[in-house]
This record gives sequence, C-alpha cells and structure tokens, in this order.
Amino acid sequence: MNSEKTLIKLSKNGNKNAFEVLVIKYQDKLMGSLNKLFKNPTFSEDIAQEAFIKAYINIGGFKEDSAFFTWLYRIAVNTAKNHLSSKYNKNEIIESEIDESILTQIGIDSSSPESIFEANSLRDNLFQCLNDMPEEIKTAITLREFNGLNYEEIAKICNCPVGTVRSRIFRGRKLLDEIQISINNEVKRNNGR
Amino acid sequence: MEDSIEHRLSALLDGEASEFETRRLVEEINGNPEIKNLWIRMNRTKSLLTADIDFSSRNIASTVMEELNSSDVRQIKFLKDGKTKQLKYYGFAFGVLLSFSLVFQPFLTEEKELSKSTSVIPAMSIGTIPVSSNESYLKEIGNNMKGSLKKIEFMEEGDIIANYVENDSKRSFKLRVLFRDLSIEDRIKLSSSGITVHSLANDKPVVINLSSEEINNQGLVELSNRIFLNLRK
Repeated sequence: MNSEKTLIKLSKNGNKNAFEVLVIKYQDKLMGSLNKLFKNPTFSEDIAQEAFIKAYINIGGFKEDSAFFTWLYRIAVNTAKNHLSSKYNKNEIIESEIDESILTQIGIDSSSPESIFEANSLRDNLFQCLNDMPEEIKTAITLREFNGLNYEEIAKICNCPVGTVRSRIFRGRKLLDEIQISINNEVKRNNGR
Repeated sequence: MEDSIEHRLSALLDGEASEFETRRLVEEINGNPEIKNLWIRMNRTKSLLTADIDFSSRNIASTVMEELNSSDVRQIKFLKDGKTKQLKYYGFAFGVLLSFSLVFQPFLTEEKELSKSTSVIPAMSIGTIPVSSNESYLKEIGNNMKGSLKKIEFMEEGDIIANYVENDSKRSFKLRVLFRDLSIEDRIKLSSSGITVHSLANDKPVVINLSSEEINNQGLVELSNRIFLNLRK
C-alpha cells in the first residue's frame, strides 16, 4: 500500500491528523489549479478551504477509482460554481449549467505583483540550487519531480538500488529546503524593516 | 539504522513511504510543529519547482483543521451499498410525509399566484450536514419527479435545499427539507411559497416544502404525487 492510500484509509477512519497531512500535500496544487481557472488567489484559497472540509466530511464516499486530487478538484470546482452562481445573480435559486468560460469572466485577476514576485524569486533560487547540485542528485530529483518517475524506475535508469535513489532525493530536498529557509528569513527581515 | 525524519518525509512526499512509516509520520507531523513546518516547506518547494502554484499562497491547512476540529463537523458514514441506515429512514419518512400532500390536494386546487421566495437563505454551513443529504438519494428523488438535480445547498441546522429541473418542460422547482420546527413567522412565509407539509419523523419535526416560480400549486401537488407513487413501489 503506498503512502497516499494509507493516508486516505486513516482519514476514512476519522483520523484528522492523516487528513491534515493530505491537506498540506495538496493545498498548493489545488489553489494553483483553481487560480489558473479563476485568476483570483483569494477566491481560490477560500474555495480550496471549503473543498477540503467537504472532502473530509465525504471521504467515506471516495471510491478510490480516481486519484485523490482528481476527486478533490471536482469538489472544489462544484463549490466554486455554487458560489459564483449565487454571486452572479443573488435572486437566482436555480443554477443552470455554468460554462467554465463564465467562471473565468467572473473571476477578477487579483494576483498581487508582490505575491507573484515572491513566488518567482523563490522558484529562481530553487532552480539555481538544483543546477548546482551534484549530478547524481540532480538526476534523481529531475526524474522524480519533472518526469514523475517512481523510485524503482529511477533506480533502473541510474543503475543503483532503490534505497540510494531515496537517499539522493532526500539529500537534494535538504539542499532545496535550506534555500527556502534562507529566502523566507530574508523576506521576514525585509518585512520587519 | 533508521532513516532520519527528513529522509522519511521525503519518501512520504513521493508516496513511497511504507504503511508503517506513513502511520508514524502522521503522528510525528502532528506532534511536532517543527516537523510540520518542514513538511509544509517540502511541499511548497515541490509545488514551486513543478509550477503547481504561481503565487505566494497562504497555508490554509490550519484553518481547515480548526474548522474540522469544531465539534459539529462529522464525517458522513457510507455503507458498502452507498446508503446509510439513516438515509433509508429519512427516505421512508419522506415518502410518508409526502403522502400527506395527497390528503391536502383538494385544498390546494385553488390557483394561487406563486410569490418569489423571499426567505433569507443563511450562509452555507457544512458543519451539520445530516446523512440524509446524500446526493444520490436526492438525485433519485429527482428521477422520480422526472427531473434532474441541479444544485444542493446544505443549510444551517441540517436543512437541505435541492433545486431540480423537469426533464421535459425544463421548468425548475425547489425542494426544501427542514429537520426542525418553524416559528409562526417562518410558517407563514413558507405557506406563501409552494406546498408545505409539517409533520413528525421519529418524534422530531420535519417540514417539507416544494416550490417553483414556474409551476403552479396544482403542478407541484402532481410532482409530489410522482415522488410518493414511486416511493411506494
């Protein structure tokens, strides 16, 4: 059983701690996907929040015939549709099928330049760090993050044991984490001025 | 030698941690704020690298968990056949209650102009969703009424509002199931909106209201009959 199946199983048994691990894992992906659709980070965050709560309440009905994220994303889009239909016409009781193009029309692009700059700046630093990594670590991280290969597949390509792949990816992540900590500290210092 | 916590978190991030490791990590993440922050940062790094997110977002997990930890949020329990015992109970209660509408039918033949629903719909609360709010059940009701379920709203105090559209005529109608008693004022408000049945289910008050801006009361009674007749089968 992979980690995600275990987390879902625990969540279905009412383990909120396991569900929180899932929330942290998928929050950025969900907010990012919603923001691509609605162009409104605040709205995307609110919808993501509500979608996670609905997901927890209904997780017993998740049949696991699709990825958890697919199921979660569907809940989020339906939640957004319900919100937007009532916002679009406060007196409207019946919701007609809403075209996704309408959703993007309603969304207002409110991504703040600071917010985008901050994310881009961190991303640039992370990529710089990735480029500077020892070759075997860079390869393992690249195959995992950008090609979506699992440890066994990476081990075959790199001709090394799975445990070594796991260690290389961990070492790469440790380097990336150091970058993120230093950038976060810099941002805090700047905000404190 | 056991791998470090960062090592195991990295495997969890890739879905490659064993069940045993995952269970332990769940406890460790939630038992230690530093480990939780590390887990948040590792996920953030992954999201930024893979361009899952293009803005600096908030960590919403704490807000979500606060809401989930509030006492009135509970999971809907799904049985293997997809329906809960309570769902069946409410289904039965619903059928019985709608049968009352047949009794009231002679009194409803007089055409009344349907006023717009003016009742204020409170903000959606997902903290107290009753099991009877199961979407498939509401869809089944829609099928019985030869209509399609378009939208469900879960209201405060466990009430449900489901909106349907008739398949043939495309006329829309609204079903409200209120699991509580109403004040006199609310009863008067509701009486001007479609047909309403007040009754008891398991010694608790239940109010069922069917309304529409496009279907007259006679039509609504016919709709309720369709539900009743199908449920009786």
